[in-house]
Amino acid sequence: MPPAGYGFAEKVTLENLATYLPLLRVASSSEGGGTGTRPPAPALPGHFGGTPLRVRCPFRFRRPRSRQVSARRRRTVRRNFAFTEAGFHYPQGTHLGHILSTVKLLGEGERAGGPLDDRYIRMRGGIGTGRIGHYRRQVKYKLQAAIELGLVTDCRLAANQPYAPVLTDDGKEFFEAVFPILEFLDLSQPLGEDGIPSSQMQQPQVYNSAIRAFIEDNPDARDVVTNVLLNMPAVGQMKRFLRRQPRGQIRRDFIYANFFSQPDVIAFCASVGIPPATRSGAEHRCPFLLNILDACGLLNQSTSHVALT
Amino acid sequence: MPEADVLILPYDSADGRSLIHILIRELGNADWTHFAAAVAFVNSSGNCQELLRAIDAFAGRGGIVDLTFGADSPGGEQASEYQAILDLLTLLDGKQNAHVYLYHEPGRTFHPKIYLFYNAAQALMIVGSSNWSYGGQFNNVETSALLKLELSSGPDAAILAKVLRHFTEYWRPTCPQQGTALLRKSP
Repeated sequence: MPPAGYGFAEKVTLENLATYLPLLRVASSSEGGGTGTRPPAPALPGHFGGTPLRVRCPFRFRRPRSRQVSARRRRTVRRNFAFTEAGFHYPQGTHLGHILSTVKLLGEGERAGGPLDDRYIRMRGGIGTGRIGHYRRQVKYKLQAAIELGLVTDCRLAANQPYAPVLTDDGKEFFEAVFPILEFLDLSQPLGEDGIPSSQMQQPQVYNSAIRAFIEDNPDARDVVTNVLLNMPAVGQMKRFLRRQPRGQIRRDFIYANFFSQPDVIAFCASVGIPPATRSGAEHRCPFLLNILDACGLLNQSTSHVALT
Repeated sequence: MPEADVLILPYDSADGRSLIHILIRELGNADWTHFAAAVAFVNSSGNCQELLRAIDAFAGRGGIVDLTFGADSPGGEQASEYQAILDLLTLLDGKQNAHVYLYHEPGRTFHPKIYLFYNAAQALMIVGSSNWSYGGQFNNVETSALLKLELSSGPDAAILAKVLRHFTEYWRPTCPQQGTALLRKSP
């Protein structure tokens, strides 16, 4: 049994050097300098098939590249807004189970005939009435959240009309990173007697805990997951808001009453052209943000309080 | 305890004591039987003619050369350069005692900068920030510690054994014979 980590080095010769060309720089452009984050090297099938040495890191690093990607994505979206709704920026009626389900369905290409079939997707205009109208609204909430996280192509961009959601590059990376837990979590959406799916899933805490435990043991997945989840603007706003509070337990009703009156939240709402949520709106829109912070290990929450870790 | 010194570039370079100077000097030291390096990236600027000639001469007189470079980021400024590796391989072509390796691990950057000379009795280990480039070895602001190890000393031998163990277990695809005798000395 080779030691952990063995296998990531390979002998290179004049005969096989060309094989490794995809991993090497062809033109010399620098003599050195900083050690900023680099783009990932491409896969080289059949090579470097080692066993990673897993080392748990107790520190949390900021990720410059992802901040840049996220900022670029947000700028693109804002510039091309033909329309937007508060549901994109401060999602409601959804939790991370729905996000995982959406990523799984799109990642596995199983949209047709399933819970994300075209007939259930109505991101603009009327959504119909009755059960199908209700379910379409639920799907809209879930997709809005996934779009804001950058996981799914944005229905607000002209280039994406007519709209058919697919995973973005970040979404594909996220799908691959969380694939192990997609396999064991119950992400099913039961069908009603009318054949229309329900968005009813397990309690949000199930998914928060699953993600949290998974990324604690998987540093690579943690980087990907936290890059996506923590780069959502509203999540950053919530994190800053909570960090401004005295350490200890923070009442949920305090959060609901005050989050949308924070200057940075008000400014953001103005910049994207939505009104800040009312107190009752906050009760529907803040939990998604708290669930994300919980899943990333930044807070613990109960039904009445949250506490930063 | 090992005898230690510190190299601070480019200030020491101005005094004729750059990393290139030291590498060339030590490659010319007939006492060393092995030259190993594990360096994050290599580019052509690091393959100065004097250094290449020194490596060629070292290998030509039977010295064992093992060089491991990172292959992490084709688009990044600090990615190892194809041409630089090609030049080294061309230089070392036909020399059975000289090997070049690439290290690539998804999700983890190969980032050491270790230059190591050793024989059965002594070692010189240079550990710092210098990549295999003109900047890293001469012109950038870089720092390196130079550790002279006497392998008759248990602690010194243990340091070398630890480093060699990482070369053999992690930074080469196989476990060459070199180093195994020294490994046996480790506590």
